[in-house]
Amino acid sequence: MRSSPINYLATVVMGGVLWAVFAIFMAATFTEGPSLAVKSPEELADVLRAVFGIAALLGIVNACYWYYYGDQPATATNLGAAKSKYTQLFLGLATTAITLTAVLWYLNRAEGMESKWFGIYFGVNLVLTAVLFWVATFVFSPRAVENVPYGK
Amino acid sequence: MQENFLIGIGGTGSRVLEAFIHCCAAGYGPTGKVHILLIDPDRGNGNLTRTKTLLQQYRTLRKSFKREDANRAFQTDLVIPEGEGQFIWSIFKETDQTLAKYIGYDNLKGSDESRPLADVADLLFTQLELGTALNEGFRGHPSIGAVVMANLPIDEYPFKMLKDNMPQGANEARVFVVGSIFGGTGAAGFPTLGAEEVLKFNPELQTMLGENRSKVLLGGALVLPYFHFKVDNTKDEKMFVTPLDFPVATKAALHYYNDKQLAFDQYYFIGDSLGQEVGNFSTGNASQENRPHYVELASALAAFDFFGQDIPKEGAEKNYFIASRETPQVNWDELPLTRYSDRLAERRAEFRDALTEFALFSYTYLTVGRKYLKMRHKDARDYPWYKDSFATYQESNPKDNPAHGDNAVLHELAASYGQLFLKWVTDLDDREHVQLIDREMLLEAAAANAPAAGTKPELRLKDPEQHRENLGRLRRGQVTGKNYDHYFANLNASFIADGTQHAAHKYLNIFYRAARAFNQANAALR
Repeated sequence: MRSSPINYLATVVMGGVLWAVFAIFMAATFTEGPSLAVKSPEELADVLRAVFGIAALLGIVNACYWYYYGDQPATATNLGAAKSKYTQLFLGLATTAITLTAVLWYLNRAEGMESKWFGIYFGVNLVLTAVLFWVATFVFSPRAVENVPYGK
Repeated sequence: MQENFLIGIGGTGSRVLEAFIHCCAAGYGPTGKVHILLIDPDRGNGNLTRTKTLLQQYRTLRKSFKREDANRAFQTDLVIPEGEGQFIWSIFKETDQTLAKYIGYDNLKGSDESRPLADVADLLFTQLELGTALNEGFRGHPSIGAVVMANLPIDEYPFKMLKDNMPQGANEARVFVVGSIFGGTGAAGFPTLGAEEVLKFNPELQTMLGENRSKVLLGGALVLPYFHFKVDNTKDEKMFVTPLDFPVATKAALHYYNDKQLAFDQYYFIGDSLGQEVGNFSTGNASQENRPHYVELASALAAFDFFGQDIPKEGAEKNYFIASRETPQVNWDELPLTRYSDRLAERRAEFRDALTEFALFSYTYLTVGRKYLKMRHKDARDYPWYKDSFATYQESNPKDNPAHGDNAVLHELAASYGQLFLKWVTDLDDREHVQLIDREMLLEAAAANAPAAGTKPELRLKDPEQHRENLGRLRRGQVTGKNYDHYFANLNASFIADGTQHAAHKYLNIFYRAARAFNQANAALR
């Protein structure tokens, strides 16, 4: 599971499944709950699919970059640098989740949606970026850096 | 059942034994036992002390370290007498022994009855030879050695080892004698041990099996002149040997061996014309400690060939083996390894891999291994090889904690032996003619390795993390190879999950595995 290309493919599948769960199967929950002044629930669902898609894509890309980085021969001998790199990627994805949520707020500022929904969207963005990255790297990191993910 | 005995005589014998022990440590030795005996009157000789210490360290480490089955290092059981028994025959029991004292010259001279014997002594020996202290060796005068070595104490150790371990069948006791032909002790001891009644057909040893049949297969390596040293006789010694004496002494000795039919079944003649300098002049004692030379390695290889030969036919003709170089350089392909031409390639690969793997192990253990051993567990466990190997870590339990204080002894033993091996193998490399393990890949500049006055010499090894390409180029002449990053990938793959292995042994075994895996991958690039 840790060797290439299995870890790359598994991460893509994991990201795709999560996106499908949030953006398709749970779309009704996320779009019919909030009160919308102008947009229809379908229009909001389109926006959410796009934003969640970007989040999942960034989560997948960062995890794949981590696999590539971890497979470099020089990485194994410098785990200090690898730990810093991991933290950078993780915090970068958490920041991305905040940014994408801010984008959602900006795009829907005229709808008068309750703020709890932006909290929920932030949670979904976080799952599709930083949490996806953490879970994927926890399970699929290359041998040399397998103990770097948090909680190992 | 075959029993092997290796008898080293004099300073050269000690140094050949040093090479033999290092090859055994690297895993090139036979799988069974080899009984070790040394003959040297110079108890304080630096070469002898070095070999004695080395043998003790080999045996202690071999006994303490539980190797994995696939690990051939230290597979040879080098046997010496247990307890108080000595493996070195120092010939003289008292200090300041002279030939005159040994033969009772003054008593002979003082009595009318025995005066003719004293006259014979006067005829055979000069007053200088009769009066010079012999506790530092025979100083290039084998005629003195021949007198004092004439009666071997067969019932005392180390020779009692022969008696204790004498097998029953013909040629089953393989006895290999090695010494120089051009000095004093070796030149005296070699023909003495080669006399029929001493080893081959000795009633006391019960080596005879009827007419012309013996339990002993006797082999000998005669080391011909192979080194030079600067003569700087500041101590104003009166009797000593210089390199100028070597050719004359050698010629005389060869004539003697040719005329006198010795009982050796197989002879190896080993020498070299390079005449490398191996150190400063010394008549003997602690100051006689010379740099190792590849001829000593070649002589040790002769011993391996002798012990590893197929069962010889009874009554076979005597064999004479001579090895020579075909190029000015001595490299892995030039060393004489076996009498069987069809096995040469296999033996060559075996020898090359054994030495390279052990050099890799020693180097990486002393650098990488020691580094991680000093690291806190919580930091070291980030590294997969460490975490997977020591999953059941408990700080207070030496079986689970490789760095526990109780394991320090094994780590010190391994580090100490590794240092000795690297010193020996890098000292062989003279850059110009001998091209085996490249010292420049392993050691800091020569000046940095010079010990400060009064301190124990310690090798200053290059840090493989700083010199990342060096690991793959340990063998001189190899231009490209795998680097430190690849080594570390091998280390990560060399973890040992087996919970029954003791942590300290496991730690060493991991580094053996990694060294072997790296060497195999690196060899594919050659």
